[in-house]
Amino acid sequence: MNRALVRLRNRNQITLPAEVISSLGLEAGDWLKLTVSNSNCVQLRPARIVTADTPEAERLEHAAAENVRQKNYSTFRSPEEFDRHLDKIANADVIELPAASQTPEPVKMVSELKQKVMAAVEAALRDEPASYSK
Amino acid sequence: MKRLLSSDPEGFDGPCGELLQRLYSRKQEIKTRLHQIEGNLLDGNLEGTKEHNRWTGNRCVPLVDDYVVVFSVEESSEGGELTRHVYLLAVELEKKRH
Repeated sequence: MNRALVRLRNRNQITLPAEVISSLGLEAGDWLKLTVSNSNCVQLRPARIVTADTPEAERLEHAAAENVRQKNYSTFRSPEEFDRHLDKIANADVIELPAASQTPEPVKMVSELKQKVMAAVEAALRDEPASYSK
Repeated sequence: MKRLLSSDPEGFDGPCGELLQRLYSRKQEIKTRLHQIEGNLLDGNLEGTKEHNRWTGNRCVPLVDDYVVVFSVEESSEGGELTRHVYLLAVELEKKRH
């Protein structure tokens, strides 16, 4: 199944079809990342803890680095503030993400990485190796 | 020195919230460990951390079980005051290496 109609109920709740839940391997307590596009489309994507050294982990770390550049993060000025934040996320049903997520697409990431590697190789080729210097 | 701690909403807050909810009985243990990590990193103590991604320069530190916290540290000087800014970027499950 890849299409379904779901009804919005009281307290803004919807029920996801059981087939969707099982096909995505979801269970109660899992997080879903909600994105609303400019064309009023709502996309839900599983946002669970990922395994290190996987493409998904790389995508998340890239997005986090982009958020650092864009200053889209929460900052705590004391251990108590951080503690309150941890309590909040431990009990939350909704965690607000930056409004305009700058998450790079995988294709763009590969392209950017390729450009960086090529630039590094070209820079290295331009330099005379130390052993040949006079 | 000015010390700042920040967390990424998607990479850190979401997964950390999930971990705190899933391991609810160990919530205090996880929070204590996070405060220990916070203190060490803000003090500039990287003992027990390791390189996580050599392309980005990100490092990681064990949280609980096989979970790690991925972070980066930025030091800058504005107006003569040194600022150490620690960014908690992600909580990830580390693969077991045998």
